[in-house]
Amino acid sequence: MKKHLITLFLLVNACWVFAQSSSQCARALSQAELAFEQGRLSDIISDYSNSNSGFTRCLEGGVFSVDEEIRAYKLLTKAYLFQDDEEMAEEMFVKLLGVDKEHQLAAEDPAELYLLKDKFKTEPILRVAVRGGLNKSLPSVIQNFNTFQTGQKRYNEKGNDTGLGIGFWAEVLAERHITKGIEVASGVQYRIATYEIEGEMIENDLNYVAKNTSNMLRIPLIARYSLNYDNKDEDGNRIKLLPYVFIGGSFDLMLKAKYLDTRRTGGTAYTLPDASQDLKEADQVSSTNVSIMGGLGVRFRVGRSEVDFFSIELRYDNSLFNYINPDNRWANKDVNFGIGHVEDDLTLNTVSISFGYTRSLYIPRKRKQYR
Amino acid sequence: MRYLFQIIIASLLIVSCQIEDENAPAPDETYVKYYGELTSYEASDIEIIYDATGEVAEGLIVFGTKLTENGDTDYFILRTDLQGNLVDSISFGYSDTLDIQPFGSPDGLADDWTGDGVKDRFRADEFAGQIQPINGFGYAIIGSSSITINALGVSDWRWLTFGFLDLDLEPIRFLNDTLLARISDSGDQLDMVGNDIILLSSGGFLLAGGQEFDRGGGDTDFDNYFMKLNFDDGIVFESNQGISGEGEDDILVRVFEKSNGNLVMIGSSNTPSLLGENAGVNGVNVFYLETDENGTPVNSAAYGIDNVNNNVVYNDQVNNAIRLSSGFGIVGTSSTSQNQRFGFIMNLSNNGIYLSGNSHDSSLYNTESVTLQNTGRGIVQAPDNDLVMLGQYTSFTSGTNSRGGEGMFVKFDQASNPVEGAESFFGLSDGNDNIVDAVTLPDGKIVAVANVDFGGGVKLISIIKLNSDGSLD
Repeated sequence: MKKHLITLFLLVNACWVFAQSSSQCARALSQAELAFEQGRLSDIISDYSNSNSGFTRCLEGGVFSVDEEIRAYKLLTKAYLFQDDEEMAEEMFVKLLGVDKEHQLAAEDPAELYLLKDKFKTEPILRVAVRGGLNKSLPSVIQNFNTFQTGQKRYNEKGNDTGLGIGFWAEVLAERHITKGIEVASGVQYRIATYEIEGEMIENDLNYVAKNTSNMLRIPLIARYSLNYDNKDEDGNRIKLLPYVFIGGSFDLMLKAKYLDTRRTGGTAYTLPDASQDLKEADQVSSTNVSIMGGLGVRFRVGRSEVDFFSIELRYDNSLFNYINPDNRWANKDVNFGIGHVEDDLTLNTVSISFGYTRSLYIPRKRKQYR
Repeated sequence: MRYLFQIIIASLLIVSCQIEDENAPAPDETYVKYYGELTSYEASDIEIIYDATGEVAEGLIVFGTKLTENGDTDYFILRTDLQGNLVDSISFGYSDTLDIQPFGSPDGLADDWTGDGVKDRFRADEFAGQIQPINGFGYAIIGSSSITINALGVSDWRWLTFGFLDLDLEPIRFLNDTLLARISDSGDQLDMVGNDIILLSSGGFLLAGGQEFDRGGGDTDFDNYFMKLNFDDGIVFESNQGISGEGEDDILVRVFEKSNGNLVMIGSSNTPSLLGENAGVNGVNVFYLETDENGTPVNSAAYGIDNVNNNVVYNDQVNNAIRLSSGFGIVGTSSTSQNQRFGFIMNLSNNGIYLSGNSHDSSLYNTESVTLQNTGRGIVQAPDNDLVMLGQYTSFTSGTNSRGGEGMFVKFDQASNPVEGAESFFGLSDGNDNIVDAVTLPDGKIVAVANVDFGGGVKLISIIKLNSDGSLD
């Protein structure tokens, strides 16, 4: 109990000290801003130059809130700028950008500050997006193959025996803005895609279900156009909602493909062991493929600086080439004879919904022509 | 916003692209097809259907049996195109719900056997033999029917039955009936079995099989039976031939017509082998019988498979034979004195002289390194002139998988030596499956017909289009 009381006392004390400090720092910043308004620029600079001054200690000691820190660096930038100390003005501006990555100047900011900002790259050098979601496979049959006469083969029709063909995917993309809301992105994606087939060898009497699951490593390359990328609302704030569309392509590398939960009913029921042969090892599926993709989504600016994004996206992946290796279509006797299934030639397409988070990365620096 | 919509439309157009693989095999290259409903089917023969000129292959026809709703088996005929797609099928046979008039019974049996003034109805289990497509006419079928007439206390009395179907698979009425029978002695209910029917160049048909005789006393035995039949004149001749002896059976399996009009019949017999192998009741051999066009024997010979390295006796039961340019290719199953069974293949010359033969004692698929027993059911000549034996492997263990009876495909060269890399098996892992026959298509692929056992009484007919080495792809 005694120990807890001491801890509580120390915590309350620390809060009180911090509140006192914050209050003093806010006063120091206000005094500095007042000095700027009164034209006492040298007072501000000398105050900043004095490491023991309250203003400097608040700034360097991290006591300022982020907003206060932005105001402080902006104030120092302007002060150095008007004192014609361009080097220090640039240094302060870089520090400002360190706190506020894409600092938006206000209408009342001086033209000199606008000119200074133009000398710097304030856009992110790169964005890193992490995205994950669910996909539904939409196999597109190129050519039908059957072992039975009814030809009744259904894909991903939710029924008693089959599911919807739901899979999962996740990707990490590096993105870069090119111009006017157009970005390019590339990275790696891991995708699990599943399609389920129900075949009626003898209607209602001899049926099978085959569930083909593939794991792919994909390398997407995407071009995206975002609406409102650079637009501001009537109040001069950047618009928070960015609808976008994108198209792209992907090189797909098959890691593994298997039949899961594949079984026949009718006669003596038969289930293919889940530990059956890897279809990639057996060369029954294409080891590589190329896909094109397109989609639309919307990004929301998040974070204090509103330079990071949360996004929701709908995507359609269209594989260009046959998922099945036609040369080895009949290689697995237990599937062909035991289950009664043979794969159609098909492209394994998917539609997906995903959620993502994009982090913007910056290295504030002068543009090349100003270095 | 308009820009956004334009991009969306362009994106949709782009992502709807699909590149078809031009190298993907067309469906007619290789395939596995199942046929049937939820009952039991069993095939015995497959043939190619040609057009009226006999030059253009148009489809495939399979002859077999089907278990009916009444619990008996009927003849079943199934027709497909060359891609294995079902065209049509028909089943028929003796039934206790149909009136069928027996044909040509030697002692003049009427259809009213019970003498009650009403046509008798009886049920039979049909056993399919061969089907013979007749270009531009239809099909001839032959088999056996196991008759049951409860009113007479008759059970499993085998009749040789045959019939004709038109090009639409409709049974043709012939001598007032659609399914015709030859029966042996009605008093003792001796059996006749039908195994083959061919169209002769003279226009008649030659039927062959076996007829059971009771020599008095001990066991009955079968003799070769053959008959020439004309549509207009009925029976031209019929004859028996064989060894008379208790249990010494001679049964013809396949018949052929030589270019000089002589008739060649191949089957199994207890006739002693010219190669010196055992004969008699303990030794069954391949039998070659040649007659003139009137059915008068002009030549005969018997040969057996013999393993010179041991003293094991091989009793060789012929199951099928084909005509080759060099003579005849024969397949069957040898039962050995060590109670094992192996498929065998044999080549005879045009004059019935033994050329080569071999027993298939492969252990290729058996990881337990013991000889895998098998049976030989069908034979076909591959495009490279090698002979393919079709049949069944008995249960075996391959790797970590244990398998039930599997359809067998194995190739032999013209000297009857196994061809390396041309052996394969097909079927369900736990079913009792077998391949019974095959044909070679004009494109060089081989189409085998198999009986595939799904368990629970469900057996389907399957046709499998293979490469000439037995591979599916």
